[in-house]
Amino acid sequence: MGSISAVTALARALLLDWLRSKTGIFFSILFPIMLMSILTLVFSDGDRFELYVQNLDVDGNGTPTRTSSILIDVLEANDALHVKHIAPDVDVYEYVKQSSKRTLVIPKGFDSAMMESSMEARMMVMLSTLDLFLEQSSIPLPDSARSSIISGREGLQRGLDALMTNDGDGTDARLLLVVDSSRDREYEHVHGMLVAILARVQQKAIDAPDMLDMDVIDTSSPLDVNHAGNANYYLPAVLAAFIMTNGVVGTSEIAADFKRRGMLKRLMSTPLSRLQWIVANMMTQTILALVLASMMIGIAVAVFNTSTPNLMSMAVLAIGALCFTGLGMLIAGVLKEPHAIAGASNALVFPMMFLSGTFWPVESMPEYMQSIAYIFPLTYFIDALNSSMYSSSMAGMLQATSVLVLLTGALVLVGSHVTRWRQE
Amino acid sequence: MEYAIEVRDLVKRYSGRNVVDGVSFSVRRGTVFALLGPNGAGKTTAIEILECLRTPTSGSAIVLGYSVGKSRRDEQEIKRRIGIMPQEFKALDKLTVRENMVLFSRLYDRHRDIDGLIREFGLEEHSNIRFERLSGGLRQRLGLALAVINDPEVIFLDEPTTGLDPASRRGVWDMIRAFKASGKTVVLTSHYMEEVEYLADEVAVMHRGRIVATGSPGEIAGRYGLGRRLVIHGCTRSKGLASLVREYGVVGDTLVLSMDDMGIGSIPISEIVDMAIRDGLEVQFRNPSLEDAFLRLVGRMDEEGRLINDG
Repeated sequence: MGSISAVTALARALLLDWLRSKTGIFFSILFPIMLMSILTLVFSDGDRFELYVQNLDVDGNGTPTRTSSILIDVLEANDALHVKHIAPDVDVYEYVKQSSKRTLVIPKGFDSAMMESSMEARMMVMLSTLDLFLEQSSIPLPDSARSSIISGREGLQRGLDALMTNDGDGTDARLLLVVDSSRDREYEHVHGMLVAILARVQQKAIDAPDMLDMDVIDTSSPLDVNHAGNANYYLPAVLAAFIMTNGVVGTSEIAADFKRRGMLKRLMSTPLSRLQWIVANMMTQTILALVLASMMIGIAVAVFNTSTPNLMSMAVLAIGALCFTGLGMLIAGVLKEPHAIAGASNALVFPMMFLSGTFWPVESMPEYMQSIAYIFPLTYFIDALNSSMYSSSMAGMLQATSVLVLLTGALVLVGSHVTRWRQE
Repeated sequence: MEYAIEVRDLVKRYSGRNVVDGVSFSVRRGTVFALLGPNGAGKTTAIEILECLRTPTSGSAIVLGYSVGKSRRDEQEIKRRIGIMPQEFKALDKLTVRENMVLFSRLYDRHRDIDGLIREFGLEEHSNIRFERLSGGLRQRLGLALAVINDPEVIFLDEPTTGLDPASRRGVWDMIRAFKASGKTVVLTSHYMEEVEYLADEVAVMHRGRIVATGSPGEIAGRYGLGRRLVIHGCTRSKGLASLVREYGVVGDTLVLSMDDMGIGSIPISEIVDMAIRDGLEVQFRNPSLEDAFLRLVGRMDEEGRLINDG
């Protein structure tokens, strides 16, 4: 009973001390809320690739030709692209050099070139079809019918030859993608997408039917799909990152400050045990984490229209907070010098932040980096939060949460044995 | 049990140097015991061993019948029964006086009534003020209140009046006397002679990790204080006193001469005093005192407890 009383009294005192610190509140609560809002707003098109388009294929009034118009419509209809237009008089090479904005140039004459190519393609398809029919058809044809087909095919061939002989300036009407690949890290993705889109446009241009198509099954619940927005991605990541930072850096800094100011020595002279000291700090940070999470979630739901997380995600948040506070307390307990504590906790936090899927999905990282990511508890925390907040994957959530629970237990166990509880 | 604390051959070694070097002393129950010495003498290290905050390298320390550094159970018992006020006491900055007292009271199985303590230490008007806004004197008062919050049998006070103005220092002295009057054993460290003379029943003078003298302040003064003396400060600046300095030596730049014969060798006292005054030096006539004994045993300290011209 006495033990619990000491822990709750210390946790309450730490909480009060923290709540009365304006800078503490700013950096621990208001700053993450601001960051989440900024990330969500700035990267509101974060999952789409920008593509600048300069259409030079316009008539005397500046109206785009029919084919260039169709191409732009198809590009704009693609969910993965965010198409922006630049004026015909802009020097594209200089523009890309200066701003690194990848730009697709639709050249003058694109429409007529496209029409010619379309005709050629259609005639080639017809010739090819006739050849196939004459060679492989199992239908017995009367000789007269066969002669007519051969004669028609010869006429078609002559027409195609004449068309191709007149096709002198086709190269000038080719589409042009201007990029600065040294600075454009998404160039390969965009190029791949454009190749696929152009193939599709080409197919449509010759009225070829779809022979191969693919259905997509989305495994997220209908509710999630309806409301999924950019904040849905950033909210769990930012929450996890700040709970981790508060847990590791915040807690270890509080412990270092207690050490620096002699308060820890004063506490060590009482019957308070190091386990009680560790647990009290973990309790405090967990309460703060839940307050922080509730505020961020509230703002995300109200302002950014994210879906409302369930109670399970609050439990995951609490477990994550306990885990990272435990890590912070271990660092503070093992290291002697207060400045070494700050250095060590920061050195741990930054790689975790960048390698654990806070700012970009782990799946988008190279394979060997993905293996490294799963060394860090933050990756499991983000996975568990994502699963609990926006996915119905109970198994995924339980798996990631179990890792956090086991790690928390280990950290408390080790911390309660190795924390320095006396002076040198 | 006659003694609250018994220390035998206590050693604490850091980087090959004995910070506490074979110290032995005993503290009777219900008395005020002072460790007197300059900064770096090893006073704080010695009492932090008794507070179970440091592990001794060798030797033994028994507090209230429990051994320091032997078992966790013994140390928990010691921590339950002692109260401490560390040097430069700090509490949680943003908590009020009362909140800090509530926190510390909950760290013990049993504790005194908070309101009673607030009244006893004159903190009624300040109980809702945050620690960060308290003056130095009020902080020390809170530190003392926290030191007795668990109604301890032994109270350790490390430099309890350092940095306080004279009025606040007097206030702290009164409280320490009140502790003794209520039957508590008090162990304090200090570099203030008058404080130790005023408060301590028993003194141990520490220098470079060792105890160089023990006894009551009167006993130490009588034993090492050389009777009535003429004390001349800054004597190394005087040409006239050069022969006396060469003959009797100085502690720092202070010349201490015994006045038993009303003369020093063949020179009458009046002549020595005239010479010193002519050279603008400070001259004092003194009865045996702890300060003189300290001067002879250890040397001269400045106000902050730093030894002057420490060889």
